Amino acid sequence: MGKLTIQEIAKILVEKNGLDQKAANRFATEMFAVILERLQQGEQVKVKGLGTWKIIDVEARESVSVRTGERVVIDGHSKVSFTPDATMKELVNRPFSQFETVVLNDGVEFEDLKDDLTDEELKEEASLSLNEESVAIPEEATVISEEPMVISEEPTVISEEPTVIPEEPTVIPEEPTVIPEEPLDLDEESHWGKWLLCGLGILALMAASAWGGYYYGSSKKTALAPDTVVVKDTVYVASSDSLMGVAPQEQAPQTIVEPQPAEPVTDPYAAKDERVRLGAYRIVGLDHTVRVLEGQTFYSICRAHLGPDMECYVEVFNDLPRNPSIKVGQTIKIPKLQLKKRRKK
Amino acid sequence: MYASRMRRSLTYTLRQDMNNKEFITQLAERTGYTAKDTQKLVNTLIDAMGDAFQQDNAILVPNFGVFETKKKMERIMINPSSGQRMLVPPKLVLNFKPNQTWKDKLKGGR
Repeated sequence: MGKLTIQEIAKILVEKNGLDQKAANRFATEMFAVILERLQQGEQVKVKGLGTWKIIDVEARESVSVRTGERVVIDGHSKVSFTPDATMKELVNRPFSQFETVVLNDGVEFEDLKDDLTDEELKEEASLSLNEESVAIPEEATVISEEPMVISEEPTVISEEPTVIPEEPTVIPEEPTVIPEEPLDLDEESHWGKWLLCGLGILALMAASAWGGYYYGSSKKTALAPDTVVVKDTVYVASSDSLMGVAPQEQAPQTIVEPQPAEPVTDPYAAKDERVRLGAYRIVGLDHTVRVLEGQTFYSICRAHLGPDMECYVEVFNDLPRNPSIKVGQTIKIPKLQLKKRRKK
Repeated sequence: MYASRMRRSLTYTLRQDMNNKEFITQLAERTGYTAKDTQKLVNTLIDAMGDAFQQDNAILVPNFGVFETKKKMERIMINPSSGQRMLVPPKLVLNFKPNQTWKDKLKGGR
């Protein structure tokens, strides 16, 4: 990003219109001098292709001084506002012109997705075509075949899921709230197809990230999975009479329905406390026991043996309530923890 | 509050704002070109500025101000009437910052 002076811009006048450099400079400076002069008379100036300048009065307002915290009054004053012309605006924004504002469906959360999605991926999302969509779905299909393998390897990972499933019914009631929004889109016939494509593209990506979420072990994401697919379904149903193929429609629900029967294994500790369920570790057994000494607190013991913020594992492992009170001489079992496998999708 | 707003809207209607045509004629008077030539020159100048903005350049105009492009990040917007959430894409916008001396003059004389 460089800085140019108006003289450098004025060179174009020399090249294109045959002015000499001096005249070109004079013309350019005169041009802005005229604008400035008129503005200082309190008028608004409009230059075609560039924009509009206005002098705006700012009323006096109260504020708080950053340094002292005192209330201060900022005097009323005038300020210059510049609004670029529509053509200039478009010209400047050309690198990003392919983006459009997208309506987000209910329950679609971007907060946690944003970490994973780079700008490029977002770009992809925006311009997702039907072809890419059909590529994404076979990917999901291969995941299904992977799923049983994973279960045999690490049964405890799957154990998180029963705790997630109860959330699904709470999500489904939201469905009707999604559907009424759909006709809204339908009114805008010209945009509708594009929006639908974009929406489907996002949902496909989300479904993909959802199975990635199983490995992540964060049930926030797994909760997202049924949610998004439910939404996806309604979109498909709404569009079944349009251009969209019906073939991918059947595959989407399958991806979610299949893992559910395969979750009989439950981590008894995870069921007791959601902090353990959502945490990065799981309890795999007894590590050692400690006897509480004079002056020790529950938190100091936990911190010494497991690190900060690990109390929940000890609480659950010892069947203690939250924030337990402990006595000198009490024995506390320190659980052996294993990091839940995290895998990049 | 309302009175001042009324007064301001009144002054707006009474005041003659400068449109492009007026701007060109005044510029033509001062530079000595015909209005047609002036418009042509202004257009080439603005085109050149647009090209500079596209290459992410800022343009410094002495005694006037700086034009620069700024990137606005994408954000989630909520339509207050319908409650719909929209993802607004990132944007490049043209920004103008007036010269400091000019700004001071404005603050003083109201």
